[in-house]
Amino acid sequence: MLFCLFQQVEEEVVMFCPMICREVLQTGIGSSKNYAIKLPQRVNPAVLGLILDYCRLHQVRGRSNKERKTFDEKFIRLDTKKLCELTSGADSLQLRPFVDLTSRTLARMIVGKTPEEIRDTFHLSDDLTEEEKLEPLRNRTDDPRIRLLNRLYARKRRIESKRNIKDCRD
Amino acid sequence: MGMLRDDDSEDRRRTKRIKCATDDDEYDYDYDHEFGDVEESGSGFSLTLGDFFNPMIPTSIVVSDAMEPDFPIIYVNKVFESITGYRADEVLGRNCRFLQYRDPRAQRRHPLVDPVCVSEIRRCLDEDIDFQGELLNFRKDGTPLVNRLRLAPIHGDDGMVTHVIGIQVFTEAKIDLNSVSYPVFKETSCKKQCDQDTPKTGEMKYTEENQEICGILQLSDEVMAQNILSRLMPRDVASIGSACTRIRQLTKNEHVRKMVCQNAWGRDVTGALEHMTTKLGWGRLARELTTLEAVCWKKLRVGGAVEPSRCNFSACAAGNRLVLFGGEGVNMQPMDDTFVLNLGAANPEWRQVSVKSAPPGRWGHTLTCLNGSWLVIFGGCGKQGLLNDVFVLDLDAKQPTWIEVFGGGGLPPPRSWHSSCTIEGSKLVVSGGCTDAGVLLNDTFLLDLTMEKPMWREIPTSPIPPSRLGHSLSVYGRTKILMFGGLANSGHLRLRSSEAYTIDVMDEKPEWRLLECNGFTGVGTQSAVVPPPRLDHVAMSMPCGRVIIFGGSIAGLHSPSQVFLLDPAEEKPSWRILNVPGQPPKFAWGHSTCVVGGTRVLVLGGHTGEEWVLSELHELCLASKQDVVEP
Repeated sequence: MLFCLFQQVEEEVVMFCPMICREVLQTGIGSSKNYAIKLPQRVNPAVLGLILDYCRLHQVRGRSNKERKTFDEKFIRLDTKKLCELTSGADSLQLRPFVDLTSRTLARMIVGKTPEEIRDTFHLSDDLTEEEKLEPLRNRTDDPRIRLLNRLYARKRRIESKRNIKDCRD
Repeated sequence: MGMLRDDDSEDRRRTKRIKCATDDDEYDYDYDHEFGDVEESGSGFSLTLGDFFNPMIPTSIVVSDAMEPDFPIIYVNKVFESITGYRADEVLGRNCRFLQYRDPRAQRRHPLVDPVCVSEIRRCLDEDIDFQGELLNFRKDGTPLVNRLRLAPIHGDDGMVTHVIGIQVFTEAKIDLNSVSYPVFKETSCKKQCDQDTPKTGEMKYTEENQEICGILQLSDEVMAQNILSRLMPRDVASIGSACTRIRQLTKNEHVRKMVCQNAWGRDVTGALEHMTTKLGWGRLARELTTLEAVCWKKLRVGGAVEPSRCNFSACAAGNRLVLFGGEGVNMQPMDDTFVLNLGAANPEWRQVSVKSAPPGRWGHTLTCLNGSWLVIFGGCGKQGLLNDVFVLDLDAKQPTWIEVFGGGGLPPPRSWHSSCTIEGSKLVVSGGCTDAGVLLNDTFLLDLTMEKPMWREIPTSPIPPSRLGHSLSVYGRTKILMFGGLANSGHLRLRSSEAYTIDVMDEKPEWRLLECNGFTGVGTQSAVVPPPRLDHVAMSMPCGRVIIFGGSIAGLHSPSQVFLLDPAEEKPSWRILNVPGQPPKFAWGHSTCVVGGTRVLVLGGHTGEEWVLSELHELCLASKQDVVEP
């Protein structure tokens, strides 16, 4: 058993993380409560718990690929906040396969979404200027919908620029 | 390396994980036996993607255990040890990725190591398929090496993958690590200005995080760029780039954009497009290729001459150079000379290529390009009738020579006016055409030119597509082919066709399927828009997977310069008309049109279509060429 963050963890589980493994072997850290493994800032107890669950299953020999995949699929059914924390934490522990797993999931959550939907999913605030959003799309395939959009954007830009000029003058 | 000490815990850990490696005999992989007798390859034909069979360059071998987590190494050969500087006992039990670290004490791979290649390796390992590619590695002393790597899964008795074998050919990398620009990503922060790390050691510091940031913004730029954005298609990157300022900044990074393009279009295509981006930038190029906003017709005048004059020759592009072979001269004489036009030169002009030995003269053949500067010829009509031989040429060789490739297995019957294309830059696909007796064919053959002894493989024919000549084959989605048009059997008649068929040659049982296309019915138009039936037209695949069609011999009074667009990968594929400004050519033929750099379609041929005047070319530009200022 090794000591880290004031809790004890099974050695083979936590040694699955390359960063911890290296630290332990180089400096002998983790051998006692006073000499516990220091984890990077981003790894709080909750994140550590989840990461250890992952390591616990994957470090066991003899588990088939199918078993590992099924576990992974169930494991990543978390909300976006947790997934991002996990990705961040696992990245600081250099647990590459885990970072891949969570990143793939996050990427899947982005596919096919509009910017609005992405902001909703990840609780992002809309801090882009109107200018930045209104880049014209040129239309060569005679799609009337695109022509209409371009006209709307052009009008919006004219209104915006007029408003900006007004603000400057005031 | 600090990790390997002689204390008990390390020994215990090592013996636990590498129990197999003590029995070396079992894993002394005899690669000579596996890859054939190397000396026999001296017949002159050596289209190899990495000198794998060259006895002069020693090969390094690594075997990893696929049943253990993270693929620990269980065997390395002496060549590996001497080239990389790592001893076997230093690396057994570890994953090979330490070769991507410049320093044994580094904790991350060096920024110059291509992350797209690494994720490609991961994908191949996940899917239990072969990987072949090049990667930047480092010796133990930090010297950069280019690793031409090939990974192959090894299956156990029950069919499960038990091991992965890696075959590496290392060469010195010609980069000066002190004077090269790194794809640096700023450390994550709410503030717009951050300190940039000097990435000389390949390590990144972790700054104090504001725990209040929730969600995706707490990920470092590097993780965002290399793990998440690089997995998205350009459209989704554009979406997320419009979500908030920080991500927008990140999506503007040229390296990120290049990764996204590589991911979407594949490395070969992106490599070919590389020279366009020095002026445009990947972001703009991706957008222009998607919206086709900058498409136009241009005219080019070139010097030199192709003499004696001829028709029915075949032309294709290798990089920036157009190559022309053979053709039908005066008195139906089959020609056997080779000409090249270098568009990269200040004043491009047609020059004859002096080759050591030319293939028999022919017309109605196909000339297609392979990887890099290689070209391949198949079939055609020669002096003594129809041919089914294969010749390859390396344009970059000191003395370019046409070399005949003797494919084993069942040869395709001799033919002319067939169609061909290349898959993944190394597999030649040939289909259809007309035999000596005037019978039309509907067969499909594949020849893998990377094999030591290439074998023809026939894709079993089915009733569709009906036999035809003068059709086009366009490759999309890496391994899929779209066949369009041609003069096809229709009952007891032969009619021009406007049907499209698709096939995926990497399927277990590949077969041609009819593509049900609708015309795009815009607002106000009543009738569907489908390209009029034609043969010997021009078909070109764009990087995003769409196919452009124009020209050819068209039934009725339709203009050959009308350009059509189709995305065969759509759920309900539909033809669209592309309005292109500029002066189009009056005629365009498939066998005399070349695609340069993935974005320029060059139509060789004069005004009337009867006189083959090669000094004037019409060019369909798909993307801007001049300097554009990014808004």
